[in-house]
Amino acid sequence: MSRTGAQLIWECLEREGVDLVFGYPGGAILPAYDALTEYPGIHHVLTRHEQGATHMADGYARASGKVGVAIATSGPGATNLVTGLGTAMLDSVPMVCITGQVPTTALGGDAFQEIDIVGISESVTKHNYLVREVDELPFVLKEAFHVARSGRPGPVLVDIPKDVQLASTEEQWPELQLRLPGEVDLDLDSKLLDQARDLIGAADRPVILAGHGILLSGAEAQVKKLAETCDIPVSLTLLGKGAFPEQHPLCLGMMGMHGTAASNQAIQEADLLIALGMRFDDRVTGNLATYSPHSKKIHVDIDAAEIGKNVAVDVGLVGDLAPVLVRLLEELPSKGHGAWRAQIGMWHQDADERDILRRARRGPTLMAAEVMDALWRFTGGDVINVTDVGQHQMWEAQYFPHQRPGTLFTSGGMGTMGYAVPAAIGVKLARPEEEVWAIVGDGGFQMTMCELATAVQEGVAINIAIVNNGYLGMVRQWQELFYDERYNQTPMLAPDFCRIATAFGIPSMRVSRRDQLEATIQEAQAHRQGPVLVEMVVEQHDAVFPMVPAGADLDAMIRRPRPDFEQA
Amino acid sequence: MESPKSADPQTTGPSGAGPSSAGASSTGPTSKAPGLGGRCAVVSALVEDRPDLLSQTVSLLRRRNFTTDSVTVGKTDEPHIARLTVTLEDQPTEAQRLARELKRLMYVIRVEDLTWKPAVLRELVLIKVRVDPASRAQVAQLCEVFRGRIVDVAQETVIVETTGDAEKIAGFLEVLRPFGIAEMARTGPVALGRANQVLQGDGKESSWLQRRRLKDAQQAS
Ligand SMILES: Cc1ncc(C[n+]2csc(CCOP(=O)(O)OP(=O)(O)O)c2C)c(N)n1
Ligand SMILES: [Mg+2]
Repeated sequence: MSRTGAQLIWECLEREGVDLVFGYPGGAILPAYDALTEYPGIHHVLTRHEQGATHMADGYARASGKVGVAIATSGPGATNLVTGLGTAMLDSVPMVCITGQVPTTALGGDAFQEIDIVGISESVTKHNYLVREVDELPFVLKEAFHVARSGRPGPVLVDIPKDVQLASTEEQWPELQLRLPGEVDLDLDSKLLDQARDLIGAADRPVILAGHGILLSGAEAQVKKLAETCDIPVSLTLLGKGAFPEQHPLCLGMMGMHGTAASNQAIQEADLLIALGMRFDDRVTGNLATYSPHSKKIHVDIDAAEIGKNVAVDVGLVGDLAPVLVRLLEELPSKGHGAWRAQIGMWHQDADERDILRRARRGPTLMAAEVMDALWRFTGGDVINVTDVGQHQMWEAQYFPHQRPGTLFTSGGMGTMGYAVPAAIGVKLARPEEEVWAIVGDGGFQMTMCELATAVQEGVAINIAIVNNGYLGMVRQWQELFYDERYNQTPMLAPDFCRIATAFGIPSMRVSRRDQLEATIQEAQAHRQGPVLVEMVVEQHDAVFPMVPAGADLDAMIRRPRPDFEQA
Repeated sequence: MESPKSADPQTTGPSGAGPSSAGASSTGPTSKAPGLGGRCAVVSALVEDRPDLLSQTVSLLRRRNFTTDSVTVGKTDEPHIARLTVTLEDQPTEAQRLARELKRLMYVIRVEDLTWKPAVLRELVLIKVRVDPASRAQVAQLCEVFRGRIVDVAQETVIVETTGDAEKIAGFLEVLRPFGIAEMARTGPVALGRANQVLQGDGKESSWLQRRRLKDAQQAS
């Protein structure tokens, strides 16, 4: 049977189990869009910007565990994908982006809307392809999905010239055995496992560093067992939230620049770090030269290139976390660390006394921390949050404990403002039964608010909470602390967000008083047919504490002053 | 000379149970030490010979912040399989990181860090030397000493060809310089582990290679 390249694209997607794609048409991808009508099993969400398509595919992928798909035309359509590809690349999100391209006969001649997207996207994809012959398509697309989801997941781009989409082929479906070069064989050395057990057995002050890899591997149960068997406190990376229940007595909360003081102090004092599916990013280590100076280090990661990349380790185990931990736990004797736990308890208590929530009720303005606390309490805490980038993202991480996996999605590695609203749309489409909140700053919201129209058109019932502090708050905070309070280009005029919502046909409410929080949140929850928007007007001059200045020692935290030091 | 630390089992090819490779390496015109001695990082890889091979490799080297001395790619005996050699001058300690990063590339089959291993490293150089009737004979004589060959003769220049490691080439250039070097070209080094060390595939093949093989089979029949 003869098929066109355009038909093959959709057939390949169907064979990969894809039933939902996000995209935006244009000339070079038009043959594919024209053929789409023959494939009713695939629903296409028309976004308002190609960046939105990538973040939706990203949110969809993170929340479903499947590969997200975004589609764009050549030239500007393709370049608009780059931010979303980078976001997915740095957070290991499986995604396939398909772009149209000018015909192969015109390649290299600066034809209208020709851009070398394969060259441009080389460093923001796990791999990418330019398809030159229609016969190649089934091979390439099958491999693209395999690459995206295997090993350490990541985005893949497939660039398909228009003549390749229009060409016909009789090619049969290839029988492909996909064992790709570049894939690591995960055979564990039992000597290394023994060494890891010995280190765990000998440690008095161990800490588990729990990262995104735990969620990607589905190793939450093994991590819990490891922590409980050996009485080891667990510190989380931002993307590791949900990997270990945050209200568990062994949980230290988040680590790093805006991590809990207890986490950072414990890491610095530890004599053993067990790093699971995390990559010692500079935002969690601070100054590498003084990072956790007394500890031995065990590092487990599926990506061999991560072992020893930033921090020298004593035992490096390359592998999929869940099976590695299963083997590690086979012969691991139980242990207790009473003294260490008591020390950590004291750090926790000190932090509690400084907590903003203890005195927020005194001031006239609503603090963002209170908003997060209210969202947590009044929703029952059992919802999915998708956060944007900035202060509100850190406050969510500090004040909204996540008890189960897959309940927080955020752009961690790249810190992409504008991520939350489109990503929340993708998340909600993947998990329609869940209550999904997009928590976004006044700045970030304005970057991708056009996607409100997508949410309305598709009837995606997300709850959007804009934390409006009238500033690019996180940048303002750096100006306050490190640039002598010169607030250059951070006060930001915002439109009337509620009228914006109205223009899109979205119900909205505004809240600026703490006694209205509960009723407002419940009112938002009552809307289940489509998106709803809540503007939370909060204190403009607050800062996120604790804060480890960039490049400083991890325990050199700027702390919120204790209340008894404060002038009343 | 072989550093014990460099023996990373993940980057070494199958070593086999043959005689110790260090013992078999004492011959060869330029080998003073059994290994390359860690002067520069030398990483060799067996790769699928794809059209995007060079651009992807160079892109990786740039974005992972390597200052690269040379990248060479050449076909091998096996269809569609090439050998890639990357050297980083004066940075032997970067070799392991480079090997790990290269392994992430989709077309890289096996990687071997030869930095401290018994290996042969050679580079081909073409040097156009300015000559007059008197000096031409002198250049010819030097060529004999340095195992060079004159491969082109013109009125005012000769082209000299030689192969060797960095040290030998530097020595040769030194003695030719007084005559006047008009221009030159170097291939960048290629390397092979000595004796029984053999870098072999592990049966993994990308869809690209599988399709190539299908086409080869179709053409043959
Ligand atoms: C696309 C993009 N541009 C710039 C930045 C730098 N940046 C990080 S946080 C931030 C301020 C965010 O402001 P807002 O969205 O209002 O959130 P807030 O910090 O006030 O909660 C900026 C500009 C970024 N992370 N992403
Ligand atoms: Mg703001």
